[in-house]
Amino acid sequence: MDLFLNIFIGGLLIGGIYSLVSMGLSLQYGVGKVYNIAHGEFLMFGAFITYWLQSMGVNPLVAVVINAPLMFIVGFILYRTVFTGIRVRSPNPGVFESNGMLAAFGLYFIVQNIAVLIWGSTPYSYQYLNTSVALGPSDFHLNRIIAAVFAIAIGVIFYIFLASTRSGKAIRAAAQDTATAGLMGVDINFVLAMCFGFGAAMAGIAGTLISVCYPIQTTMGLGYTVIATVVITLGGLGSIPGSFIGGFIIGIITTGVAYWEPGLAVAAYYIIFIILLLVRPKGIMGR
Amino acid sequence: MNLSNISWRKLGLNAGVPLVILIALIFVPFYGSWADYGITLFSLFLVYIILAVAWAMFTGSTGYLSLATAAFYGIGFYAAALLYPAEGALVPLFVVVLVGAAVSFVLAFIVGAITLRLKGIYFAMFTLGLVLLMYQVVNYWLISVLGIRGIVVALESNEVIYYYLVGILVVSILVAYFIKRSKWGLALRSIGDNEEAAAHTGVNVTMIKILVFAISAALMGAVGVIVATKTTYVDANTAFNPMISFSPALMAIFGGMGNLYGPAIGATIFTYIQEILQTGSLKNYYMLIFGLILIATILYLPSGMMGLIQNLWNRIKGARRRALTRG
Amino acid sequence: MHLLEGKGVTIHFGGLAAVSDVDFYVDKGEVVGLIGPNGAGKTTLFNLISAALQPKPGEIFFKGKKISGMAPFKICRLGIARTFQTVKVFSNLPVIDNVRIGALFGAQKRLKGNVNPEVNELIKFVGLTEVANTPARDLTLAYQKRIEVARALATKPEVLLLDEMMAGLNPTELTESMELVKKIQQRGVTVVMIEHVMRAIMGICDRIIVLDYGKKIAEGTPKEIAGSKTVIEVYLGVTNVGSKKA
Repeated sequence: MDLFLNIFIGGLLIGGIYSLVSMGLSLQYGVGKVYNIAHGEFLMFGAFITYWLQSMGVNPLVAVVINAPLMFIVGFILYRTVFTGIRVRSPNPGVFESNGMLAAFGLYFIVQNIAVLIWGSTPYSYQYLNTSVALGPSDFHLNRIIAAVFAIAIGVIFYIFLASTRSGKAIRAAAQDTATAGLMGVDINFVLAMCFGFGAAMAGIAGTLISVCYPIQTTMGLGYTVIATVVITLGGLGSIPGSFIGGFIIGIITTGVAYWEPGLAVAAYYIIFIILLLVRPKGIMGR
Repeated sequence: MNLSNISWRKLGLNAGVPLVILIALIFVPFYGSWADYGITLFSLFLVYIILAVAWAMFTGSTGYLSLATAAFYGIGFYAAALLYPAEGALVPLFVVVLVGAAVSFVLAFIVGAITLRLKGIYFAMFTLGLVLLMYQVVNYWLISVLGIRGIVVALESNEVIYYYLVGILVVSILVAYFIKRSKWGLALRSIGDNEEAAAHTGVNVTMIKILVFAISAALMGAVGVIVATKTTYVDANTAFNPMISFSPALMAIFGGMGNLYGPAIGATIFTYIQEILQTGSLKNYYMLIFGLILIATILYLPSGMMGLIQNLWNRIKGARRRALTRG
Repeated sequence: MHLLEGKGVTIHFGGLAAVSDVDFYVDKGEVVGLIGPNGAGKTTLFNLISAALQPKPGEIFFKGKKISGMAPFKICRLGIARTFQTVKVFSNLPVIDNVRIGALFGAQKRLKGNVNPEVNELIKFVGLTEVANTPARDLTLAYQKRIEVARALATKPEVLLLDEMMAGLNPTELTESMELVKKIQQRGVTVVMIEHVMRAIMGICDRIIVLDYGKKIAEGTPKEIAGSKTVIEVYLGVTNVGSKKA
């Protein structure tokens, strides 16, 4: 029983970060229609910027204040330059999706290369609140608990933003039907770029939280992109609450598998992914 | 202009040009002092040309973005590792090539049967996931179960490797050509245009997609076997490297997929750029340049180099025709 | 035995019955009209017949053989071809290749060798000879609809399902299109057509089936339908006549 509770709590802690990464990808793919394979690279960059800031004495959690807006701006500009260009040149949405994905690959190579040039490919880590706290039957690192709380808070704030502000409504309208939203007076190019920017910012924040808990490496991005892909497939493409809940579910499942056989944790994502695609490709919260 | 002229020109382009290229390729190892470097460089060209042609065979017409290339290529690696180890080959090399091709074919058939019902973007995610899964599972099996990291494969001479690659290339081109020219090629293009309409017009959409996907995978598996005898050391990192999924795709897109030459030209140009960059002072910028070219191609060269060349050619011909009629 | 017959055909989307317990039949040589207000389930019924969707519950028979549950390509090869409400031509292929695919893959006894004479005949039949080598994407909607007809006919169907072939056509095109349907009937092909253009429906159909909210509410000759109280109520009391989407 204690074991299950441990796995459950451990899964929730990592699940908060997964939720955040996945909500970002869900915005980029579900609304912006770009399956951004470089999503994890924004996360990696966020983690390294945090590392660099904390080495200069900035509190890692405060680094978010610099990190998130920076990622937002980068994402926004990228969408306005590259992806909007592809969108207007594509004859139909299907072509845009595949060309957008290929361009995202290009982005992945570029960001990876720049990161390796700056930081190489060895792991980096620092200590922050690395004390143990009793939670349930056993002890957990304080930094992980704080990271999870932080992730959940940001998820909730973003959900409130979507539900109650004017920009949030524009985003939800665009997610339902891009073309119609455009006809109703939503500035589509702006809203889609904003979604991409928010997606990048969430990846950046997730990067900060990961750097607080775990060692970081320039090659870590792709793995998180894969996890986020599984989560948004589980939660339903474009469904923000679906990604939020899906993150915790995947967190718990992978923690369980990792407990039993760490070498097969990634294989577990993939098998969940296969089953999902075959049984319910719309996801648990899909329309 | 009379009819016999046209058919001669067509024949020349369809059979003559490839034949000249083939003969030139056969003599590469005999070009004197340059031959040693030439054979290595040309082997590399061939590897990427085959991968790009095989990739475009399926994706070029159906539009299903497959990122599973590295999975099938990696199977070839492990076929070589298990059947053709350095301690003593169990079977002759051509049998290993056939086994690599056959196993890739079967895996692709199964994966295709499961996933080719999925819409485009899901298929891309799924195939990339397949590469990562194979990497994890093989790594787990080697390290945790067998307690080893890699396997050493028997080394083959450069000439043997080279001629095997020429052989696989010929097979690839012939297969690609016949698929393109046959009614199956037409069916593939109809699937790319509108899958639903194709199904309601009597095309067995699922079967054709799966078969062509499996055929292209078999070619990738065969290449993997040969490359393993060149690199000689096989571990999960070299076998299931996602770059092997990305590079041929970029090369084919860069070259243009509307035409059989497109992927081959794209592969040749890129492999050469890669060679120059990796030996020169810019070797750390390869991926960066690769990414920039990919984005630029998608934005500004949607039908690739061959599309560009064709457009220019049409324009020149048009200009000439206008000049003739005017004069 | 009817050529095409459906018994208790039903399908739900979410909780909503898009087609509910519909019995229908089509006899050889007929032109049957399928009408009803928007969202009545007409196109859904076509999708069920051509196996894009499966009835649940319900069964569909073709020449006495149960066809519900088969793959679309098999239905096509058995002899049921269709066109689409929103045109689905192979836009990058020239007209001739669009039709050729039907001839090469659709017919049950597929021809070995040369299908060109047959393909050219069909292209002439629908009046597209002049644009035979033009990519389908460069043609007008009226032409693309004719490509779909030629492509469907190339599969040598016994039943042809036409989904709003006449929507959005100008008066000249409409007259041509009505002629075309009559010519198709003369070729010995049985036609089922969804249509909102009443002139066409009343002018060419032998029998009309009326759907409303997924249920069959009336069936009969054009005269009977034109005089039916239920049908008039549905059309004038609930929804506008002649809108384009179903």
